[in-house]
Amino acid sequence: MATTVRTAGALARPGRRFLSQQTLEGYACILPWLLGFACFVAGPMVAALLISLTDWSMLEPPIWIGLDNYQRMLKDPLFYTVLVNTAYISFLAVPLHLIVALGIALGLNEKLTGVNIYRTIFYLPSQMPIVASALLWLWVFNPDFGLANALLNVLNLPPLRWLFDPTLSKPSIVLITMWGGIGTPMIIFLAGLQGVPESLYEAANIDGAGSFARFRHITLPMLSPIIFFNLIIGVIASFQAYFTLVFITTQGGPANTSLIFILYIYFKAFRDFDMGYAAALAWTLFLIVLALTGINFLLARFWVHYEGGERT
Amino acid sequence: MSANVEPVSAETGTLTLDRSVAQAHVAVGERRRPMHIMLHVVFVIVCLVYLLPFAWMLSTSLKLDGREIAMPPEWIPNPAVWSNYYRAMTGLPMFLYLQNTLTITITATALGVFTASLTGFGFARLRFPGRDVLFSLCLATLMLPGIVTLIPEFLIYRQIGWINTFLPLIEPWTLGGHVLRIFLFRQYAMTIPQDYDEAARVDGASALRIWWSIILPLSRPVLATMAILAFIYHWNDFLRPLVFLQDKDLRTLAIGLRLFRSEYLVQWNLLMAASALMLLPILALFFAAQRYFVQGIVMTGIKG
Amino acid sequence: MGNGTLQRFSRRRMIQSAALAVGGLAGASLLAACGAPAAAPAAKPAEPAKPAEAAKPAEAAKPAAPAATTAPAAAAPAQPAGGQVTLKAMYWSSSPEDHKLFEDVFAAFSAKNPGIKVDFDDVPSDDFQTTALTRIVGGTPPDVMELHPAWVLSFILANQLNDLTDRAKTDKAAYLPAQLDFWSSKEKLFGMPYYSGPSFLFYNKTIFQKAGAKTPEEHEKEGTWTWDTLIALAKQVSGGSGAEKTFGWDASTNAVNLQFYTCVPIWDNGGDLTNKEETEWTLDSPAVIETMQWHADLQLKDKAIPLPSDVKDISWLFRTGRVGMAWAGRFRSIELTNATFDVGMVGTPKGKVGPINRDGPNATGLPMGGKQLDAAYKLGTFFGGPDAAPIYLASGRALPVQSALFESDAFKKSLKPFERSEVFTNAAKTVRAWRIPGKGAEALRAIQSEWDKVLIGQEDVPTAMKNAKATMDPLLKVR
Repeated sequence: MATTVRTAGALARPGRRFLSQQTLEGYACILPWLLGFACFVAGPMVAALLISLTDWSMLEPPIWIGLDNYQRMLKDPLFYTVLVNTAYISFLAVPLHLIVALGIALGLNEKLTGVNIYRTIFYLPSQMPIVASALLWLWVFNPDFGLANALLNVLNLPPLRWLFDPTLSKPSIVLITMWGGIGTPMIIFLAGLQGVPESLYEAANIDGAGSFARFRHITLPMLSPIIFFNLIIGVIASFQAYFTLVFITTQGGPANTSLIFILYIYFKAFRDFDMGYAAALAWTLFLIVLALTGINFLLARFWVHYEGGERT
Repeated sequence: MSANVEPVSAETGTLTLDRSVAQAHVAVGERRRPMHIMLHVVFVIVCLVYLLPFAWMLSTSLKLDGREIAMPPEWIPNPAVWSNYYRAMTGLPMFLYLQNTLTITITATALGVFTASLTGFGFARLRFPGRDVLFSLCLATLMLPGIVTLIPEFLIYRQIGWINTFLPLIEPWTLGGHVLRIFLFRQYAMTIPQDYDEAARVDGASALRIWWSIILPLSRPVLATMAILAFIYHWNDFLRPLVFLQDKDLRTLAIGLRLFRSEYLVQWNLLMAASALMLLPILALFFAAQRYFVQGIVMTGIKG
Repeated sequence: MGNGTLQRFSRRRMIQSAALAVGGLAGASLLAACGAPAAAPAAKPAEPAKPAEAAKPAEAAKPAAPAATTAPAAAAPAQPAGGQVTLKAMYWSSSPEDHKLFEDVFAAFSAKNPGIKVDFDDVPSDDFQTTALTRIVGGTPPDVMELHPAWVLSFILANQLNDLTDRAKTDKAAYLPAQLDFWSSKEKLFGMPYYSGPSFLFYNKTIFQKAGAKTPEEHEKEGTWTWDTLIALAKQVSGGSGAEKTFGWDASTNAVNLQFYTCVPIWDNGGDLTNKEETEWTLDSPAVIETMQWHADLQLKDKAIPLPSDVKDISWLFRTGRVGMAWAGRFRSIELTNATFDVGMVGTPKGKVGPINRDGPNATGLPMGGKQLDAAYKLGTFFGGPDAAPIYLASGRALPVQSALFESDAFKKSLKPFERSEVFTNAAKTVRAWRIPGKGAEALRAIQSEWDKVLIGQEDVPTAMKNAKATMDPLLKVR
């Protein structure tokens, strides 16, 4: 069958470019999301922005105060504390999660015996309700009889105070997230690895490529769109996640060293009856994450490779 | 490369190989064995670490009231109170909650995966004005914490009479969850070469046709992943069900789980028992979906 | 690819079906969207109308009030013309057994008041405020709502609770005065109590025996049961290390739990937390610093009070048998049924003055916007009254909020072997009703972070109290 080379999808008929078939099709495809966005998502987001320009205890009518909340934010020492805490946890957790998840996924992709069981066990922790697992971790990290210090004891190291030590509270939280945070990126990597055709590996073997070379020249590029996905989602999620975990384990302490953005927003919104300020914090978080995501998208052109020929 | 390979069937993906390829295959297999053994060792160790909290969970679920956290901790509960599971299930109307949770979760998952794949396909494959702006917008909706939009959302749903129905929980356009799956499908779809698409276009196929007949069958692993992610998201979601469902007969399991914990008292044993039970359907689903993770379709002759 | 089958899906058909789909969905979404813009502005600053609307139900309630108060609480049902009333009730339970208890109480209420049904909405306590606020702001407030002293003030100040003063004119006399004080503001009453949990102490007889120390109960009998005695005993019975560690005194886990613990030793030391007008925190006063200092010493030097890491949410430490004395409310009694040691009970010790005690009670409030105030009020008074006692008090989870009920059979039946009713009676009588003023939640977080620094040796007690006061004073300004 003769195939005419075309640029992706242009079935343009002269004179009908705006309402071309592809435009209609495109909008039809995204219609479910677009409608839902217009009806249920856009409004509340704009409402939240407007709320951020008010002083609103929720029990009383909002009072317009313009940009006062944002000015207050700049003078609020806790704002900078939560920024630092959240960035610390995120920049530590996201790369760690990705590397470990990718490592496990690669290992599981090796067609070992019992891979089904391994896969399930690795995925299981991310499914345990955090309410239950957070309390478990308090026990594990208990300075007196927890497993963590027992392990240190075996290695002849002094015990640590873990979650209750101001310098260790954040790393301890990151450690806990290594248990529950690997599962989802792992199965996504696994799905992505399935899309890498065997024939490429076969060809590489015949050409005598070693494991590392195969990984570097085949796996990584072919997987890069999925790695990119996990990176973007990882950054976005990590700035908003771990709420229940921190809420149950440290409540932001000791001395606010584990007070993360999302917890602070929650306290302001529903404990301090200060929804206006909470909304301002939320929108600031939005802008920060937007900026970080934007940077990631810009950098993507240097390392993300789409087989379909598209650019990010 | 001089190998001649041809797919025998799309489902099983078996190949007819050239001799040289077969020889290379065997040689590689031999090299892989020590690596496999090492992997097994590493995996077993990591699995043990990962399973430890579960062992603790099961152990705690069988303890007497008040004895769950003893110092030093006891691993084998004595006595083992199996009736805790019964208490966890019947103290609150768990079977009713289960029914509700299943309704919401299955509907939302089916609807969600279906529409997310369609939308993701649209963003990945089709060219239309405003596509990139809309995609950025789509992604941006993930970035605003849902706490501050909860009340405005509530007001909207109230206006259209959706409060106290399952509808706000099923509509697959919520901030979070769904957008993630759209993005995932888009990424995956963008790795599929466009050759089949173009061939189909020449034959006059519509985008819908391409999506249904070409892209979807090639996306089984990612669809299975999306289904699992969606299922788990809706299964464990508690805040929106709690706030949007006012009748206690409409409640979900995740809400029930939180009732085991209050300001001063955590009913450890029951909480663990209920958590263990809530994990079972997810485990079952995961096992069932395993086979979709191994695609089995070899896309030769197109890639590479 | 075969040519034939695909020809059917011609481009024209594609456009036609797409147009149909778009049209259909657009139509549906327009209907939905028509509702949305109308709702969204409601959330915007265009709401000065709200207080006016909120005021109207209160006005309408007043003429009905005198009629309601002439009938005693156990009156025959008097409801609006014709039939069934269903009350939406938002409370939180702390366990499945507790949940059943609520349901039994409500069933008894409906039995006594045919025509009124109660729809019990059990909201997990962690999510209670979020849910309550969303429902109230969203325009679907419950008819009755559980109130907690930590946040009831904000609701009162914002006029979101119905004023019950007139309705309760004759019912008030039955309640312990302190219980009503928690739910009152400026002479007006906003909640009907049902749960009272004044504090007392449990002690571990086994530990005291082993240490050869005189028990708190013996001190109480001899009249030497003071805070100084408590400090000495705490040091005496604590010791050990690692998993064998025994603590002398578990001060509710959190030494700066101002509302539910710390106020008591401070008051007993002759001090106070704020000045009389509640315009200033007096955390830097000598009495307060002295009290907090012995806490810090007991925690850091003598290791007689557990640190947060020893107890954080790992449930009640006393239950594990490693604590000599523990601060408690009656809701803890049910946790001791399987205790592996001998349990004893004693009242709050006295200091320079006292003993003055505290409570963490619960009440039923009627949120603004509810439309069935008569029935709702009935439920509020039923819960804490003699009709609910055979169920509620008999469960052993609470102490009576009405003085007469201390003599009731229900209460007597509920006493466990290790419980002493005189401790309870005294505890209830010595309660000083104190709510944390101003922006309480934020103030508590501020002092918590200062105390965290004390516990890791970063700050000394006077500095911590001074810093806390500086952060907390502005939070007392209420709008």
